[in-house]
Amino acid sequence: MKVRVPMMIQDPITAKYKGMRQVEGFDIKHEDFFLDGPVTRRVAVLDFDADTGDLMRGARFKPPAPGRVLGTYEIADENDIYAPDFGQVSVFATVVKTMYMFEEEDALGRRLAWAFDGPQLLIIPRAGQWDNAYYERDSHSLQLFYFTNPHNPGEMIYTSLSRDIVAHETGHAILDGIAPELYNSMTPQSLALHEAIADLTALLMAFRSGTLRETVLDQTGGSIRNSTAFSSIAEEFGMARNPEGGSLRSLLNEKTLGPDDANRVARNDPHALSEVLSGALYAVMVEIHEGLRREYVEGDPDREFSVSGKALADGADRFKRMIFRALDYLPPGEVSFADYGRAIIAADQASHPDDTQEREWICDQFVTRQMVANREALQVETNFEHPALKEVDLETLVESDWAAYEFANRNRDLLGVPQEVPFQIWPRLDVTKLYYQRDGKRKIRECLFKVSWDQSEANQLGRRFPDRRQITVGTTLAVDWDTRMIRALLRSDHSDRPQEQQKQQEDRDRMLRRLGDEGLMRLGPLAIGPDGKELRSVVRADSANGLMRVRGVARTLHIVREV
Amino acid sequence: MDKLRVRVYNVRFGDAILVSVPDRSAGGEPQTRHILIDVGNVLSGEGGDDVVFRPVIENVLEVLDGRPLDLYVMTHEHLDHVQGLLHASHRLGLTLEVRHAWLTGSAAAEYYDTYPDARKRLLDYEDIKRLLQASPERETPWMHTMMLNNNPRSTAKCVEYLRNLADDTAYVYRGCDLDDKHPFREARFHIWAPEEDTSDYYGRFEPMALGVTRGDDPDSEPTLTMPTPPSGVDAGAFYNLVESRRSGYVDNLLAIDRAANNTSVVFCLEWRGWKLLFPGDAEHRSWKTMDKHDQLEPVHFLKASHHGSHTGLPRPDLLDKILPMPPPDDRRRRAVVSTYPDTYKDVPDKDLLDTELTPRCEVQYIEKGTVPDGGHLPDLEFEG
Repeated sequence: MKVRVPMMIQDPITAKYKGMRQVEGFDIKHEDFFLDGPVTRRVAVLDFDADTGDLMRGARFKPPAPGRVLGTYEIADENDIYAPDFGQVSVFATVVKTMYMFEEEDALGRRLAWAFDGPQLLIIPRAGQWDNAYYERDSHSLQLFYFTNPHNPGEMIYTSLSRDIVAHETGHAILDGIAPELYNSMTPQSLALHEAIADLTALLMAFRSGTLRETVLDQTGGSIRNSTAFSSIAEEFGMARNPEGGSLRSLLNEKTLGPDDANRVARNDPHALSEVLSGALYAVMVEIHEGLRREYVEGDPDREFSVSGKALADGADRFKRMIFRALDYLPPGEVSFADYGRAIIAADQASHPDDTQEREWICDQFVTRQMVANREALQVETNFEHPALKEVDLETLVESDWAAYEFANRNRDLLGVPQEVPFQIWPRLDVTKLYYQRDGKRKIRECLFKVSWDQSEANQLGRRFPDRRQITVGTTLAVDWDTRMIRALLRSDHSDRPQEQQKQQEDRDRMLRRLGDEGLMRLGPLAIGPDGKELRSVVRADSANGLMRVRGVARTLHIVREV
Repeated sequence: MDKLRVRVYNVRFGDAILVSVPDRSAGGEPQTRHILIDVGNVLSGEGGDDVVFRPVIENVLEVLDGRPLDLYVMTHEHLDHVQGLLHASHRLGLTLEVRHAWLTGSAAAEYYDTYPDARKRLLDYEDIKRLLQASPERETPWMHTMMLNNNPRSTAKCVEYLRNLADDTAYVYRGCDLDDKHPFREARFHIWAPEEDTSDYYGRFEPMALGVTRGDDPDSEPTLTMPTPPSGVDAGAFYNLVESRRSGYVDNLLAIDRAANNTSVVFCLEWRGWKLLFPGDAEHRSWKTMDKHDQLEPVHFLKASHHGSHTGLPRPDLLDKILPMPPPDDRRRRAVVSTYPDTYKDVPDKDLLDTELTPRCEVQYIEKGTVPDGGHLPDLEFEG
C-alpha cells in the first residue's frame, strides 16, 4: 500500500513571492501501518491545543478502496494550508520524506533508528506561541511553535508549515540516531556539525522539489551560484523576525575560522560556526552543479539552461551521498570539522579512488575557510589490508558484544585505544550501500565498528568548576565485508595532531565558560529546580574526584534560540 | 573626623539597611542625613517572621530622632524588600515620615503601558498559579515561597503604599536625572541599574503548555487537562511528552523571580573618597548590562546581592572590576551578606562566597543566630 499526501513545497511567503504553487504531493510507501493522526509505527503527529492542552482530532486515514493500493488522509480543503488537517498531514509528509532521503540505498542504505528508547518520533505541529522549533531527545519529539509576525500583527507564522524548518529539525533527530554521542559533546564544532547537517538536510529537501527546482532555475537562468531559495534557510521565519535580514541563515557565505579574516565567526558559538561548514559544503554543491551542467551540454552552450534541472537533480544526489555517507564514518566522541572532512574524503575515496574532483573541491573549501591548516590534514588512507581482519568472522563481530569487545581489546593498537583504558563498543552495523561508478552501479556491504573511551583534559573555567574534565574520543573502523579490506579508519583522538587537539580544547573552554557565565551550565545541585527536578533550561555538570563531566550540551542549541 | 555609618538589620530573609551620612544643611551646618534601603522579608516559612519589623522601625525612628527620613530606596518589587514599611504602618502603627523616595522604574503605576513587553512575567505568573491550583502536589515549600514572593497582587499593595510614602517620589533607572530628587549636598549618587526598559532583563522563558482549563463558570477551580494517547501511539512516550510540556513552569518561575531581581536599583554612594555599592538583588544579567554600559568600578563596600546567591554574585571577571585584586587603594574593603538559610534553594552559596568574595574583602554575615531578630550588626563605619 502507498499513501499519497500533500506537503508544503517551501513556506507560504516563498510560494507567494516566487509565484509558484504552495503544495505538492508525496507518496509514502514503506510503513507498516497508517492510522489517524497521522500515526505510523515510526512517526506520530500529536496536534495539541496549546491553550487547553487537549489533543485535537488527527487527520483521518482513508485506506485504499477495495482492489486499489493508494490510500490517503482526509483533508477538507487542500488549499487551506492553515487548517489543522492540512498542517497535520503536511508536517507528517515532510518528516517522512526527510527520513526516506537518508534511508535511500545510495545514502545510508538502512532503516533509521532513533537515539531514544521508543518506536516513534512525536511531532507537535502547534506546540505553542514562540518563534522557535526544536528536536528534543528526552521527549522523543519535534516541537514546532507558531508566533505572531511582529511586523504584521495580523499574521501568524507556523514553523510546521516551513519545509526548511521541519526538515532541519528532522535532520537533528535523524543525526541523533546516527551519531548519538554528539548530543553530549562539549566541542563547539561537534554541536555546529549537528546544526550544519540539519541545514544541509533542509537544502537537500528543497532540491527534491521539482516545482521549486523549476521555479528557481527559471528565475536564475539555470544557476544556483547566487542567492536563491535553496541557499536561504527558513525565509518566512527569518523575514518575520528581521525583515531586513531575510532568511534565518544563508548557506551562500564566505565565513571562515580564520582568526584574522573579516568573515571569521565566533569559535564558541555552534550556530555561527555551523555556517562555516554548511557554507563550505554549499560551495562544493555549486561546483558539482556547474560541473554537471558543463558535462551535460556536450559542447553546446545553448543547452546550459535546459540541462540545468537535470544537473541539479543529479548533483543533489551526489551531494547527498557525499555528506550522508560520511556520517557513518564519523568517529565517536568530540569531533571537529576536520574529522567530518576526513570522513567525507574517506567515504568518497574508498568508493571512487580515481575520481578526485569532488575531493579537491572539499579540500579547497576546508583549507580556504581554515577548518584545517592544509590539505595534508585531510589525507586519509583507504582500502588497505590489516592482519587483524584476515580471520575475523564479521557476522559474529556484528552480533556478539562479547566478540566485539574481545576484538577491540586484541586490536587496541589498530583502533588507537590506549592500553589499560576501559572502552565502550557501539552497536555494530551491517550495511549495504549502492555506489555509482564509471562502470555502473555496485553494491558494497560494510561492517561499521565503533569504539570510544574517555580521556581527561584541563578544564579552565575558573574556580567554580573542577580543574579537569572528562571528554570522550573514539575510532570508526569500516570494513569491506567481501574483501576484508579496511575502507576507512578514523579517530577523534587527536593526540597525534597536537595543533588540532589544542584548538578544540581551547574552543571547549570558551564555550563552556560562556555557558557557565550565562548560567546555562551549572554544577550538580545548582541544576536542580525548586521542585527537586532538573531544570529544563540548564545543562548539568557533575563533579567526581576533581573531574567534571557534562551531558546533554546539545540541549543548549535550542536553549540559545535554536531553529 | 566624621563617620559614615551603615547599619544592617536582621529581618530574617530580606533586606533592611540604614545608611547615615554626614552632610551639610542648607545653611552649611553639619547635619547627618539618613537613607533607608528596602525593609521586608518573605511571606512564608522561618525566614518570613513579621515580628522583626517592630524593633527595626523603632530603631530607625530612634535614629531619626523626630526628623523625617531624607531618602528611602525601594530596590525592587519583591516582598522580601517591600513589605516591611506597610506592615509597620498598618499593623504596628509605626509610620515613617519621608522626604524623598526612589522606587525602581518599573514600579511606576503606568510602567507596563509604556513598556508592554515587560508585562510577560505577570502573565506567566498567573498561568503558573493556575497550574499549582489545579495540581497542588507540585508546589514544594521552596516553590511556595517563590510564588508568594513574586505574587504581583501582594506586592501591589506594598508598592502602592511606598509610591505615596514620601513628599517626593522618583522612579529611577540608569541615566535618569537625580537633580532635586534627594537633599544631599556632599554625597554623590550614581545609579548603575536598572535600565529604563526592564524587559531586557527577562532573558529566555521556556514555552509552557500547561494544559489547565477552567469550566464555563469563571469562579470555578482550574483543572488539569489529561489527554489520552490516540491509537497506535506509544503510551509511555505520550504521557512523558505531556508532562514534559508542562515542566517549563519551574524554569519560568525562576525566570520571573530573576527578572524582578534584575530590576533592582543598583546605586553607588560616594562620600569623601569612599564608594559604597547597594545592588539590591541584581543578578547576572543586570551585572552584565552594567558592565556593558561601563558602570562597574572599584568600591569599598558591597552589600552582597540577592542574599549571597550564586546568581547574585557577579562573575569573577566583573567582580574584578568592583573589588579588584590587589586593591587600588589602601582603604579597608568590606561586604555584608544578609540572608537566612533554607528559605530559597541554594541561597546563600557559601562555597562560592568563600571562594570568590572572602579573598577580596572582609565579609560579614547577618543571618540566623548572628544577631537577634530585628537587631543589627555592629555598625560599619567609614571615616572621612
